[in-house]
Amino acid sequence: MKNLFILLASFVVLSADAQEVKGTWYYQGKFNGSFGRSDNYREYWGRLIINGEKSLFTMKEESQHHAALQDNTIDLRSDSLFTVYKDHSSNSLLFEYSDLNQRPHYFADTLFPMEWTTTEEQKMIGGIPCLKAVTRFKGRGYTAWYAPTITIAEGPWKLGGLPGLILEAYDDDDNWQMTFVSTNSDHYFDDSYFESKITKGIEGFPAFAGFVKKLFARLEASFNSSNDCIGCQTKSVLKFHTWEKID
Amino acid sequence: MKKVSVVTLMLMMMFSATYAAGSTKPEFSNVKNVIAKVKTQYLQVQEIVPADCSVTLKGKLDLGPVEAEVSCTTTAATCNEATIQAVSCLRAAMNVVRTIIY
Repeated sequence: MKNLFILLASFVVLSADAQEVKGTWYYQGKFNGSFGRSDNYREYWGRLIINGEKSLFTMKEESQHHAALQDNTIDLRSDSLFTVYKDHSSNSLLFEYSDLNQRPHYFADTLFPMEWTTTEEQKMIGGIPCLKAVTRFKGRGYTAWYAPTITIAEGPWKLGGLPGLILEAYDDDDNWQMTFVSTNSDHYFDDSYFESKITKGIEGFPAFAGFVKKLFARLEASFNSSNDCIGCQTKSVLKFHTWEKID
Repeated sequence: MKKVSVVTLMLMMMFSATYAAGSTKPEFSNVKNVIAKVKTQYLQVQEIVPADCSVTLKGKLDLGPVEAEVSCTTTAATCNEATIQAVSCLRAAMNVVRTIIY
């Protein structure tokens, strides 16, 4: 059965190899905003638009922001999360980060640096045969189920580099998950903005890390200067957490 | 004779004034010592009061894949007091964040 599956997948791969993959793939999943420290799950839609060698992925929350109901949370999440633009032809990857004022900033990162370990495990996702692969990336373990029949090394967020489109991906701690639900042939998106960024030159992941650290330092300094806890036996602590590990 | 007696009188007055000041000085230092003693005892009493209740409140600044978490831990004799102080601490911290944002 396994051999038949691989044979069938290989046949489809070979027959489809000459065609350029285009279309929009929709995913459904979740993201735990507290990264496992507590349950702060929200449901998200994922959309991956592939136009040949260029792609754009973004995640949007399905329902109302829960944070609006919580007094002790200041919700500054942007409308879209995990937004990533990839261009295979120039070996480029751009990702978005929104600052405290919700202004988007773009930084470059390496395109598919993760080393995948492929296995022979298989399952069907949306009627498409998929194979399993695992990797570690920026401090987290990920599992991906990719479709060898869809011949593009793409996937949600920064994930990719496998011999087939990733139709399901999740981290080891089940804080983030995207599973393919449907697809259509729409493949247009305006890539000129991202291409102009690449042409002009854009700072990489270390610059992003520096940007975040600077922001945290600013907050920390403000807390230190405004807290008077000597007489009240109160201790305040500020901790920072990032999805991708920053050294 | 008259001049001498005036000078003597002045000297005597100065002496008595100095003596009077000297005699009161030890009293002031005694008072100071007593105050210091009371302060020490008061501080000792403060330390002895058991801090029975500890309250931790957390607040978050959610930026999606980046998050800042503020926690205020207050220890007080009563939970009510600890809660009030922790709420006050957290409110101040969140206001700092708001000030930075807006």
